[in-house]
Amino acid sequence: MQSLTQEQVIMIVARQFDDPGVTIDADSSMDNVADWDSLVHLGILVSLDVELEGRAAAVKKLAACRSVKEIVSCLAEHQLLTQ
Amino acid sequence: MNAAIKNISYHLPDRLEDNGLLQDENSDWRMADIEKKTGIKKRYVAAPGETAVDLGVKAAEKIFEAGFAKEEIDAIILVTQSPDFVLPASACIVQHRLQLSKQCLAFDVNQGCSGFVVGLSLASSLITAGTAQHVLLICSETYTKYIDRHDRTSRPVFSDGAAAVIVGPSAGSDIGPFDFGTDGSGADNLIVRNSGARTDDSGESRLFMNGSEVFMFTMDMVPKSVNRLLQKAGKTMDDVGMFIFHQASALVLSNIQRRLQIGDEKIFNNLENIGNTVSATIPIALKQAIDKGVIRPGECVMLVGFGVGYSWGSCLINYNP
Repeated sequence: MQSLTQEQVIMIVARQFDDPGVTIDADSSMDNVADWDSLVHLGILVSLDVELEGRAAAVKKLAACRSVKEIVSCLAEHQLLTQ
Repeated sequence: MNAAIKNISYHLPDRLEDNGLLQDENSDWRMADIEKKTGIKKRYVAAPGETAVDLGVKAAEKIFEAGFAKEEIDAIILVTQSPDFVLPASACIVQHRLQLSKQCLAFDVNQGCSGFVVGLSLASSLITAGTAQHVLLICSETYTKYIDRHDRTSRPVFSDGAAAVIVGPSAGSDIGPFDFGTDGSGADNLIVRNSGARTDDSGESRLFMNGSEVFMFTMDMVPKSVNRLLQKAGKTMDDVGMFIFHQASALVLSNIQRRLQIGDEKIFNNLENIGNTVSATIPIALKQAIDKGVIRPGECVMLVGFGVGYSWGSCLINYNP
């Protein structure tokens, strides 16, 4: 996949959580989703790279993203987001 | 004169910590998730007072007890980031403890996860330059001494251990080429602050690892180093019989494997019951792969170390026992 939509980013983040009670939306972040910790974030980074066919690995700023908004913005900066 | 790996041995401390123990001490940790991502079930921990020199000496003694003559050693390289002292060099203490020749060159190399490849390059260079005939290369670490018992990022991963390797002369070209790299912009992401001359007011001197940052570095840089090395050697992935990567964590290794499209049959991992022993992971894995017959004589093996620094290095060896 050349790029992702915001909805796809949300789905990628959501599927990292085993708990069906966890709801992810455009405003979700490490600050308001209790289980979104550094371990979960590693899973998000891997999934982004898989979905983007290896293009996410070079986007170093993704490591520091703490929210869906930041991930979306970071991908957009690198032309990896479809509006 | 060319160089080759002649002997390998390793030593792990007696004390083992399994995931049950970590869970007991940290009830808020999701241990199943941690085990899935690290791939590690147990790690070795040096006893209080047991140091990298102690572990390294025990690893080297196994080689000498097996019959290699101590008198042959004329250089000692100790790769460690947990030296016994800031000074003198721990390699000098190793020379004395092992009663090696006083004509030995001895020095420490302060590198972590890339350290074995760095040390192998130095050992090989000493031999090809005629400076030394047989180099004792020891990789020994006691990172656990730097780690807080409640540090969920580092404690499940790191383990203590040592490996000793004899690098000696060879008629063939058995070590090399190498690819190395450094990116000091990542220094803050894996660091023990206040452990040297630069101090801050916090006084904090525990290991800190920013897992996400280090992970992104490995995903990006390791495949590039592998491809650069293949290009340098005029080889393809198919020419490499076995890949031994620094045993960082299962997540890191599986992603490198995915990005390089390496089949399971061409990769040797052993971190499940040993953990990440930093610079010692590659020689320990190499020894285990040889002992298990996974590496065949004459096979081209790629060794890839990467991590703290950031620093990385990869090389090819031909294993000819």
